[in-house]
Amino acid sequence: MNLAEHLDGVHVAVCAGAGGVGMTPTAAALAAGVAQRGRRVLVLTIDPARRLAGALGLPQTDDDEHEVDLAAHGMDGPGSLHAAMLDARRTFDALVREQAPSPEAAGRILRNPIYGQLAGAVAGSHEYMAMERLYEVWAGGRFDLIVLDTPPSRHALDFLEAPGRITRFVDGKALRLLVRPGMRAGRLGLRVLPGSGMALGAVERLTGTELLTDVSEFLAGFDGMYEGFRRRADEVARLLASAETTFLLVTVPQPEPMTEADFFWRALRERDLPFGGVVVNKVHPSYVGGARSRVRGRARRALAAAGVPADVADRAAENLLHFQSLADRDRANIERLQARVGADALIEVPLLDHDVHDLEGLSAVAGHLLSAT
Amino acid sequence: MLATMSLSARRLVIVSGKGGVGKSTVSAALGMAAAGRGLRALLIEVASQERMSLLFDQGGPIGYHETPVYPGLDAFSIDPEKALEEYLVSQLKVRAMVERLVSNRAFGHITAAAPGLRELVTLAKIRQLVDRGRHDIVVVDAPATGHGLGFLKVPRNFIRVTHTGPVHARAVWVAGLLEDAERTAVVIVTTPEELPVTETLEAIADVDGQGVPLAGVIANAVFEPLFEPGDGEALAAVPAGGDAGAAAAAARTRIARTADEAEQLARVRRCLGVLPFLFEPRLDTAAVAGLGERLARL
Repeated sequence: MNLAEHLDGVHVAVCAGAGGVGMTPTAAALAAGVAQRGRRVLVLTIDPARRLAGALGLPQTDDDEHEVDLAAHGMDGPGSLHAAMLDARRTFDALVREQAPSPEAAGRILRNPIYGQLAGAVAGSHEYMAMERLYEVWAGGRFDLIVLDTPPSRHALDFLEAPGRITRFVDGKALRLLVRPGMRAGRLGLRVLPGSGMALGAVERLTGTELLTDVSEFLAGFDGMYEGFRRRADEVARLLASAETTFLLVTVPQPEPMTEADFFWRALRERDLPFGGVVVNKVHPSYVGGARSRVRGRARRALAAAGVPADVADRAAENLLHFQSLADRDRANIERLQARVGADALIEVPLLDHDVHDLEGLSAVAGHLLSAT
Repeated sequence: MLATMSLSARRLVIVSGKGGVGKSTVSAALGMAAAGRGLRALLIEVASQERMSLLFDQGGPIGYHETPVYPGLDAFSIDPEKALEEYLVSQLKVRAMVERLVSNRAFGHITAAAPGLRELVTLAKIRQLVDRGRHDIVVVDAPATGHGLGFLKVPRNFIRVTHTGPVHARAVWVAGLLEDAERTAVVIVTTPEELPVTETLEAIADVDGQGVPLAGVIANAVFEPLFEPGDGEALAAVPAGGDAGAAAAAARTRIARTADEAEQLARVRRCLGVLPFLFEPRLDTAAVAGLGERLARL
C-alpha cells in the first residue's frame, strides 16, 4: 500500500500495538516523513527513550509542543514537525480545571485521594488522557496531521474501551443511583434488595465507610461536570470514527504480537473504526534462497573462496543459518497475517543494525514506511 | 544477607518487566528450574493472559484452578472477575446475594473503573495460594504495567487512601507478604535494548527503599558470543552478493547488535543472570526447560 498518500488524506493517525514493538520510533518516523512532504505535523509520544526524546528536542520535564529543527539535520522541506510528550496527570488536571464550575471546585477534586489514584498510573487513565489530548490539539487546528503514539496495551480492547470506562466512572450514571444525598452522613447498612441499594451496601461492606465517603465526595465534586465529560467523550469517539482519522497497527513478526495485531484489526472492524494498515517492524531480511540444509556448506565454501580464514568462515556460516531461520520465521508470520488482513495492508520495516535514536535514523525508517510500493 | 539469598528459598517470586521482554518465558523457566530441584512449584499468570497454555502445549486454557503442566509444576490463571467474586463471597457470606450483585450493572460499572481493585483482589488470591502451602514456591508472571512496578504498589496505595475497613485490612494482609524479603523476591526481566533497560533502571530507582524486596534483574534474549575480535575485519573485504556476501552481511548485523547489547548490559545493575537469544522458530517446552537450566543456580 502507499502509506504516504493514505496519510495525506487524514488529519489524525493513531498508532496502536503491544509493548516492545517500536511504536514510538514508528510514530516519530511517520511524523518526520510526512513533515518532509510539506505538512505541519505534531507527534504526541508517550515515554520516548531518552535518546529519542533528545533527538526530538523534548525535555523530560514538560508536555508542551516543541518544534523539531529538521533543517539542522538536512531534512528541511516546506512542512514542520512538532513533538510533545503526553503526561496523563497534567492532562487530567487541565481537564478538571476546564470543566469545573469554579477554581475552588477544581481544587476540591484535585486534592481528593480518589482522584490521585484515578489520575495516576491506573489502567485506563493513560489511554483516556491520550484521547483527551489528541482531541484538544485537533480542535486547536494548528496542525495538518497529528500522529498519536498510544500506551502499549496487551489487550487491544482495553485501549478502545478505557475512555468509555473512565467516563462512566465519573459521569456516574451508575454511581448516581448509589450516591444519594444523606449517604455521606454515614453508614447505610446492608440492604438485601435487588438493584442499587444492595449494590451500595455491598460496596460499603467491601470498602469500608471511609473509602466510600471519599468516593462520594469525589463524585459530588464532579456533579455538574458529568455532562461536559460525556459530551467530550462522544466528540472524541466521533473524531476517531470519522474519515479524518486512520488507525495504524504496529507489530513485530513474532507470533504473539502478530496475534495481537490480528485481534486489534478485528476490534477495529467490529467498531467500524478506520483501519490504515499494519506496520511490521524489525523484519529480518532474507539472506539466501535454496534448501536450508545446504546453506551452511555453501556459505563456508564461498567465504573460503573469498579468502576468509576457515574458523571465521565457520562462525559466519553458522550465523547465516541462524539469521536465515529468523527470516524464514518472520516471513511465515507475515504471510499468516496477510492472509487475514489483506496482503497490501502490511508495511514492512527491516531490522536495522542499530536501534533508532536520532533524526537520521528516523528518516531512514520513514523511507521504508512512506516509499510507494 | 537477603540479597544473596537464593530465589528458590523464597515462597513467592514475582516476575515483572516491560511488555515484549519475555516475562512469561522467564517465569515458566523459573518454575521449571524450581521443579527440577524437586520443589513443588506453582506458576501463576494474571489477567487471563493464557500464555502458559501455549508454552506448555496444553491444547486449551489453564483456567482458574491448578493445572499440572510439567512434572512438579502446576499452573493457575487468575481471572480478576473470579477473584473478585470469591472475595465478595468471603465478605458477604451469602452466595446467592453475590450472584445477584455481580450481575448488577451498577456494581459492574463501579468495579470495572475502581482504580486498582482488580489488582488488589488478584494479589489477595496470590497470597491465598501461597498461604495454602500446597506448593513450596509460587512464581507469578506479573502484568506488564508499562509503568515500572505499579502492580506491586497497589496495596500501598489502598493502605494510603483507606485507614480502616475490609479493603484496608485486605491491603495490609497482601502487603505483609509482598514486602517480606524473607518470603518474597521480585525479579525484573529486561532485554539488552535501550528502552527496556532504561525502564528497568527507573523501576529499580522507583521501588528502592519502598519495601518491595527486589532481588535483581534477569537479562533475556541476549546474543551469545559467537564472533571473535577481528572477525569483522576478516569479513570486511568480502564483496556484496552471493552466499559469501550474505554471510558477511548477517555477520555484520550480529556484530553490530552484539556491541549495542554489551553497551546496554553494562548499564544493568544487580544482574542475576543472562539468558540467550533463541533461534528456534517456536518456543516449546523443551526450549523453556533449557532456559530453566541456565537459571538453576538462582
